[in-house]
Amino acid sequence: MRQVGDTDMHEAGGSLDEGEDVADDALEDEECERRRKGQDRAGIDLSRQNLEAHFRFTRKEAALRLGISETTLKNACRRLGIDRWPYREIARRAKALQVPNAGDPVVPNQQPPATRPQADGSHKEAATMMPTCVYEEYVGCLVSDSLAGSGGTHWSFLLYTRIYHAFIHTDTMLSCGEDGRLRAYNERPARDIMKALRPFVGACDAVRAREPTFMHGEIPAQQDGTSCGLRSLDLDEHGAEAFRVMIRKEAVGQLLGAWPAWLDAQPDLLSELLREHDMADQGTASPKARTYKPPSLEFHGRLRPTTDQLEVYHSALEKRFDGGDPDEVLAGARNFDIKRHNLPTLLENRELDDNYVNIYMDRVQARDTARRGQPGADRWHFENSFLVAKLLLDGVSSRMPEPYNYKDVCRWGRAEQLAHKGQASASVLDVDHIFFPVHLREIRHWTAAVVSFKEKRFTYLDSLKGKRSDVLAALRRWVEDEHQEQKCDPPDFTEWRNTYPSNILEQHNSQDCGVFIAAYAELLGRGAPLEGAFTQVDTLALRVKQTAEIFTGTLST
Amino acid sequence: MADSGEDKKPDVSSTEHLNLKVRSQDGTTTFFKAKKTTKFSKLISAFCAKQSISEAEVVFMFDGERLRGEQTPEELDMQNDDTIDAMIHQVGG
Repeated sequence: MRQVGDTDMHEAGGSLDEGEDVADDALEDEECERRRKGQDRAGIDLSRQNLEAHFRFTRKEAALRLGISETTLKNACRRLGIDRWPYREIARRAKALQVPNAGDPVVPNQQPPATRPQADGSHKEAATMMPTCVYEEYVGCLVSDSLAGSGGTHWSFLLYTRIYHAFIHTDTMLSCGEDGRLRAYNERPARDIMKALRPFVGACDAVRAREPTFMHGEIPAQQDGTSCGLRSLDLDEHGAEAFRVMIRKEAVGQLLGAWPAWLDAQPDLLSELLREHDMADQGTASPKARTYKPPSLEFHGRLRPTTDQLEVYHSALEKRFDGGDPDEVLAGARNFDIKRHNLPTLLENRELDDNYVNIYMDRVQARDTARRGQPGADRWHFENSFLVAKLLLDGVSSRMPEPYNYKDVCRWGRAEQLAHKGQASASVLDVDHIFFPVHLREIRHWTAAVVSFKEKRFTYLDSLKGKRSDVLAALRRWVEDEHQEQKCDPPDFTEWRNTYPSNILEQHNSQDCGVFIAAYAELLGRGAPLEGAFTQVDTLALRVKQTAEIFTGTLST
Repeated sequence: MADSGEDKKPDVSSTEHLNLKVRSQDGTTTFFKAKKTTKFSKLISAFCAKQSISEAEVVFMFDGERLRGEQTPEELDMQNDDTIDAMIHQVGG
């Protein structure tokens, strides 16, 4: 070993005089030791790691930056087994990649966001990081709407998660395409970047061989024309918001196994994620059952849940910590069910999912069936939330000229399906009103629509006062197509109106829309007026009440 | 298809097999060949593995009804070439 070191040193150093005095042996030893540690004579760090950081420069420039001569650098490389300075190779790959200037990928693990050079990075830098991306759980990439180079008008963020082999694109702005369909403003460049990055991400060839999924991440929409960069770029500040949302949704269950180091730089975010993960994890492998502390619920509104309802609510939430199977069904209606791992959605200020909404629709439907025949009771049909999603081609990229597809749902209104749903009428057209929960994926929001044959109108109910005429137009076509399917004449729509009631209960936060939709269905189902029944402050009480109704199986009103 | 995972037993007549389609929301269709008595859980896990998604993320719908893993095509009276819809869960606030 010593022998090798010696020759190496002599050959490498080139500066030591071989004819030197024997007394210099000690010095040579010291020198050798230093070199073994990867330092040069002046104590400059010439370890592989440090050299790799300079791969993105030409060898000359790298030597300059390191403060050594090119020869010393060349020798250091030889010592480390790097036969060729990789700059050219990297530049070549970068060219082949044609990664847009604005979309330089960053690997958060390697460089904390705060110190990362932002959009002014270069192709070379992109490519240096490319080979390592393969092993990353998360690869982030900024997207600009200008693919030509720098410039452009809008920023967004693309995140690759290896666990799902998916690219998640979060964009603060939506734009309307030629086909009239809403889509993320930067969807096209994001997809192009996905194509470019594809060979460089994914754990193994088998994964890479598969087409990665392109998903839309949810992020609060921007309200002005200037903050997209802030939100997408400043990961240490506003970007954290985006990450939190994305991670909560896509990866929280997997996070502890694949913890991205950059998260450590975000203590608040980290603690929140840990808490989330903790909760998600409660039911799973960890056998330690925790004691449940009932959250103190403060009801500010007029509505108060009954003691029984509170009890059901708490006992339901308690099941989160009892260490049972996360997939155990705790409450359900026909084919929708709440499993143990769904329980956190029931907590105050959590977004609700389709299980909650659809089970509640089933409960309201059951009450409607029981009320049939009573004087003054309108006949309702409560559809599940997937019909409109399917009808409006939710999630289908805007390949279709217009987002309407009856074919996929033509069998949903058949008599046997209705019977299975508990609908007393044999036809979906043989009712007075139909209630549709509508999920708007692009803004992550629940709304509802009502088709009323009795009142001859289409009503769109949005707790945030949105007006989606396209949803109502699609439902009008659905009514026509459904009549045709059932071989009867479609109604004459001349007297029909579209209404967007403005006096309905208004929502003031961004978690409770599911509660509102369920409440609308419940009120309408018993013919109660929508206005004045409750306000935002009552939503917690409603949440408790609805949860109790879902778990006990019957409505209290 | 290899992914459908059913065994090729000589004594099973071909009429016992169904060709089923699973339609994703992005418009792509995956074909499966399954025995009428095979539980859907097999098909679901094959589909999810193929698409590398978690089973908890997706809802499978057939004619407006959600499929359960323990059901079989026979129970739902499925026909050849019937289509199952794979939908991503809806979450909103």
